[in-house]
Amino acid sequence: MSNRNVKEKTYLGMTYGAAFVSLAVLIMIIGYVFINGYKLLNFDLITHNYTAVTYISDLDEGFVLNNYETQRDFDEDTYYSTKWGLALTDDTDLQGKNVVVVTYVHPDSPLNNLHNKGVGQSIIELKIDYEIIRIAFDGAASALSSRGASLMITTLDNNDDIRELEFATTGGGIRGSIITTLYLIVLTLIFALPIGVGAAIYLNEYAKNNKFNRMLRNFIETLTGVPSIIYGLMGLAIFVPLTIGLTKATTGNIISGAMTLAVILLPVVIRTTEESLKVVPDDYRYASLALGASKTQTVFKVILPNAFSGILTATLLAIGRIIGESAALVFAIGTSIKDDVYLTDRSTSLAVHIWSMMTDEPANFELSSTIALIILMIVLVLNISIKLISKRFMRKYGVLT
Amino acid sequence: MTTIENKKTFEIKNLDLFYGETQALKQIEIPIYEKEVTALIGPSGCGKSTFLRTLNRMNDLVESCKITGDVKYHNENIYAPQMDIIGLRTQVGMVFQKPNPFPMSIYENIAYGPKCQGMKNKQELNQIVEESLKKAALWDEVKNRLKESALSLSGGQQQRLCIARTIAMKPEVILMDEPTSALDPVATAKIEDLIVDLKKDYTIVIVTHNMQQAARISDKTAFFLMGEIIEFGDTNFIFSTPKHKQTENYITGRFG
Amino acid sequence: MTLRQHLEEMIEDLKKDVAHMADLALSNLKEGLDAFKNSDHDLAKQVIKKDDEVDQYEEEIAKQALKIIWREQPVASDLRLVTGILKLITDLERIGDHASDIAEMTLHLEGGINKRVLPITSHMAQIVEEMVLLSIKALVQVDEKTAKAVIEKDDEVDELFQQLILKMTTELKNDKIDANELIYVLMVAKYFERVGDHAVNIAQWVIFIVKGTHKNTLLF
Repeated sequence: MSNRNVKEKTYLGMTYGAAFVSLAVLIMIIGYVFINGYKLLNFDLITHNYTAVTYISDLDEGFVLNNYETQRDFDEDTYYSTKWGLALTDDTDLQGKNVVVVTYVHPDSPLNNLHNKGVGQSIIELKIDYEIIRIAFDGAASALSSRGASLMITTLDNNDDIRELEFATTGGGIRGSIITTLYLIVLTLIFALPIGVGAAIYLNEYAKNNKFNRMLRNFIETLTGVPSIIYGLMGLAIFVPLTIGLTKATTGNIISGAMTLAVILLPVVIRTTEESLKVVPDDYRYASLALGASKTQTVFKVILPNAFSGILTATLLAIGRIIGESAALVFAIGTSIKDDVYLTDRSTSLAVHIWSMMTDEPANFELSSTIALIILMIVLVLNISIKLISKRFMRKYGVLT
Repeated sequence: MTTIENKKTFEIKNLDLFYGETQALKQIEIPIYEKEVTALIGPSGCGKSTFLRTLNRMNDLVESCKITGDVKYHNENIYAPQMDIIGLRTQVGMVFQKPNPFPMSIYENIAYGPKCQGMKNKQELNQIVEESLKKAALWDEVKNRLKESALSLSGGQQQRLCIARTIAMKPEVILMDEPTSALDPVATAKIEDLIVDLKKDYTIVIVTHNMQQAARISDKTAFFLMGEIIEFGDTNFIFSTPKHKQTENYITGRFG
Repeated sequence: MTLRQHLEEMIEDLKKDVAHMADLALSNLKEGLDAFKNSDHDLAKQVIKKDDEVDQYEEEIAKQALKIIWREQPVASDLRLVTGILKLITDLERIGDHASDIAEMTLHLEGGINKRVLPITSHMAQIVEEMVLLSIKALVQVDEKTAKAVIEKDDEVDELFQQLILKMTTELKNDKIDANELIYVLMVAKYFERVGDHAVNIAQWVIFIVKGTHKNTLLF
């Protein structure tokens, strides 16, 4: 008797142990990413462009220096020049270097109208969060960002004119990549969902159970396991030329990337949808047909609404895969990080961005962790919102659980 | 006792049915009389439900099913190639053994059929829903919760809902495949009363395992055995003085 | 193996009990008739006592039949058998009663019976006994032909009864018969006739068990 007890307890212990291990591993991974990435997490990361642009400028003709008093309160780390109407502070950039950053520019300050000495716009503003790299003066030593904000402000106050102002716009942000990722999600779903769900409906509701169809199902099932890089090659070979031919794209672009991803996802969507269609009890089909409804009406009015939660799962799975997909995209969209995102141009998704960060010299692990954290948050938000939307949708169509 | 010969709604002759190689129905010949309850009895797997499904062509859903013979509905063979199957099914409705309301509201369940046929007018739909529920003796119990899920009803109520759903199509014939075998005795009694009431307006064919039920509510009874009809006649004769020994053995329970 | 073993057993037991009751009624009848023929007063007293047993049997069998009905909801042949039995045990019980009545009449007839009437009464007794025997046979074998034979024999009994009345009126006119004797013999003969009727009833219910028709009316 006790032998059986021991066996029972061992099995029970093993089950508990497995659950514990799984939970521990998951917590560890998320925890590690969280700890590493938390430091660099801030709103600017999401909104800023990636590429910082450096401008060399000088002051406009006929500028006026005044007393730019302001009522604003600055904390002790911020240094304000009333002469120039400029507040600077020390900070670290998104890569971790020490920089001098603009915290406030008085609206009347001449620094609002700077003359660009280089290419691009002729008039530029000095905006908050820009980095001052170097201020050159006539007849005085330049103020460098390496010397700190306090010194820079002091030097400014000691001068009435500026020969050159070298500053950099904000950079290092991942805004472009986020937008690309969102575009990819939407486009891929637009391609993959209708085709996938349609195919699943055909296979489950209309196709006869003959050899051909069974082979077809097996084939689709096999495809779910094909490594995505193969699809990436295919995307490069087919979709890139296709989009180049049909649109004004010239290289791998977001549309071709979405198409490639759609093909990757198609088997998964078909299979998950098929499974959720199968689960709908035949009783409903019989009842509907016996009432004189046609097969199409039965499928669209009874079966699909009931399979909705399964299709939803398919969608969520798809989104997860899209966000995480990197190998295939490397070929189909390319790896250049862009700030201005166009559908017909190459870009990167967040995952590829991480890859790009990690292949830099030196590898930027903290930033990658931060991006990973952001990805997790996007996935969480998407999950919750899709679940909420589906609840309302199901209630509206009278499909009640 | 003399039987007044009613009109024949269905006339079936020489009906053979095959599932692939297996013959499930052999040379079935039987009339179904208008506005009567015809009960089909017999042991499990003897073809009663299969036969029932030939009357509204639900057997079409089974790929391997082949049918030869005459199944005449109002003198038209329903297996003729030009037959409008959807139209047939609006005239010949079916209620199944396990109550199968759609996972929608009570209202939507009843309105489903008419909506599929194109009815859109809210008032008309409301009227049909109320009429059908009243005819199915369910209106009083659900009139204040039409928007609630049909699945919140009890088993017996769900089955009456399915009957109401069928009635909403205004059929001529209602086929019932063991409609009470999944229900408790009280729900069963309610539905039996309903059937006796419905036969004033509808022709009913009911498959049942419960012989007392067949004795209680049917006018004619057909005894099926191994795909054949052994005996068909007035219910009172079948249950008092059956002509065939096999019928006798079955209804006295000497064999199952 | 047939299903409903329990129903089968109950029906077999019912048939056995009916057969026993019938045997008892028949033997009582025989003894009553013998007592009458031989003016055996002792035998007559025995017969009167035994009638209680027959009455008891009727109650027992009625109980059993009702039990089968409420428990097993019999249909078809089972139904006809059980309801037919319920009806014919009444007639069996009446036959037992009449046997007792005949025995009682015998007690009132001291001295032998007028020899002129005796042959007819003996003949009647014999036929009536045959009829009861035959009706029981029809019942036990559930045989329509035998039952029909019983019904036909009834005419004979009726005829003999008429003959007896004729004879007795003649004897009365010729003052050859005692008034007392006359009345009791007449009553006994009437009882004979009644027994014959009951045998016919039993036969008719046997036909119902077989075909569902009673006196040519379908009861369903």
